[in-house]
Formats: sequence, structure tokens, C-alpha cells
Amino acid sequence: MNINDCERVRMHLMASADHEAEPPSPRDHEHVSSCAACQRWLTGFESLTTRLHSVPYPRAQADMWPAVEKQIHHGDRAPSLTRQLAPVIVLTLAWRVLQLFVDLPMPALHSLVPLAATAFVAWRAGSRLLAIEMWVPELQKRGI
Amino acid sequence: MNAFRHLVDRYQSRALVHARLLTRNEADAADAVQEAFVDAFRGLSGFEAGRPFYGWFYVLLRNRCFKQTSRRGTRAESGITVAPLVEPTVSVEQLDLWRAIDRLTPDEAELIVLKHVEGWTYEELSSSLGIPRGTVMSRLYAARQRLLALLSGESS
Repeated sequence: MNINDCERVRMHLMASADHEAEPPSPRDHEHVSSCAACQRWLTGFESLTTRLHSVPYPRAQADMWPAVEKQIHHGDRAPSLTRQLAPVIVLTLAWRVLQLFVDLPMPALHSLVPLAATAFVAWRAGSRLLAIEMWVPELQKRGI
Repeated sequence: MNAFRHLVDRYQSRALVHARLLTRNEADAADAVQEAFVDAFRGLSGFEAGRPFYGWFYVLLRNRCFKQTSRRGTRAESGITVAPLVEPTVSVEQLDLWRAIDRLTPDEAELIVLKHVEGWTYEELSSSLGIPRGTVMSRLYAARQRLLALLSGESS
């Protein structure tokens, strides 16, 4: 029996059992019926699959929430937001300085840039809060 | 905040098991899970509706586990093992199975648990682990072979 045949057939049987490939072909069945090693492998594989499907997760010994909550509240949440917003604030200030000393073209941009910067800051600061308020209840509703 | 607590309560046990298999160290696993939940809280705006939450969270957790193991050196390779995290109510057969999974390499254990216990598809495994579908198949095959060998070794 060619060892490559065994590997190929087993890979296909495995993918098929995982519902990721076509059902085994008559050629595959023929190979298994004439190969004692593949028969043993198939029996072992089927029993392993059954055992693994019934295995429960061990429960966590301690609740992680107090530590997570503490890190969210007292960790580097504010610096993280500040870090995100710092480039925009610096660019807006630079723009303002440029406006004061240089005669810039396109007057429409003069008010658009600070407006866009303000909108970005508001969006970054508010999106996290909104995400928590919107996604988590939605996930709960879906039982996820 | 209470809403996010629900997610932590729901996923902490399985996240700890997965982190423990990847880091091979209880303290590193707990740190990685905690940091991954904080990452999830901060990044929740990037979560797409319709996607399973745990699949998205797992990528964050995995990154944290790798950072944790590289920060602490290579404990996973040092052969140090810790007692399996199991409930006293788990049957002897299930305990043997977790012990055998524990003896696999972190990559193998990860694939076995995500495929069999979580029920992920090859596509989900491929996108979360960042490897091609064909590689998922071949690695999964190898991991199952190893697990079968370990279990048959124990029974004989």
C-alpha cells in the first residue's frame, strides 16, 4: 500500500467528516476497505471526534471582571485617547499658526479645517462609548 | 459598563483555557486574558455586527498571548507545565483528554480546541490564525494524528 495514498485518503476523510469537502469517493472507500492501517486510523479518528465534542470547558476559578474593570478605569485609557487625538490637535494648531503668518489660498479651507478637526475629535471620543452602548446589548440579544 | 461585564463573564473561562494552551503558564494566561478584554473594550467600535464576538476577540487574545510569552521569555519551550485547569466534576475520560491536549504543542492544541470544542470552520481558522486553508487542513491532520497517538499511548 502506497503511504502517499493513505495520507491523501485520510486527509480527504478528515475534511469530509468536518463537512469541508465532498463525501469520500468510491476510490477512497475501496482504499479504506483494503488498508488495515487506514481502517484503524478511521476508527481512532471517529472515536476522537466523538470524545472531543463532549468535552466541556473547565470553569474559571476566579472572576476576572474586577481586574478588567480596574484596568479600564485606572489604566491608560485617557492617555490612549489623548495619544489618538494628539496629532489632530497639533495639526490644527499648526494650521492656525500658518493662517496667522502666511496668506493662505482657498479661503473656504480656513473654516473647514478646524471644523473637520472638531468633528474628528468628537467622533473618536464618542465612538467607544457608543460602541459599548450599541454592540453589547445587541450581542446579548443575539445570545453571543 | 455592566453590558461589557456580561461579555467578560460569558467568555472568561474559555478564554483562559485558550490562553493557557498558548502560553503554558497560568499567570501569563490570566494576564493575557485580562489585557485582551481591555483591548476588546477599547476596540469595540471596530467590531463588525454579524461577526461572532469570540472569533473577533480571539485574535486580540492570541496577540496578547504571544506578547506575554515573548515578554517573559520562552516558558512554553522550557518544559515547565502547570496543573490543568479542571473542575472536580470533570470525568476521568475528559480529564485524560485535556491532559493529552495539554501535551500537544501550543499550535496543535489551539487547532484541536478551536476546531472540535469551538466548532470553527476551516475558513474561520484560516482567517483568525492567518494561515491558508490548505495549511489549516494539513496542520489539523498532524495535530489529530499526534493526539490520537498520545491517547492510544495512554490507554495501552
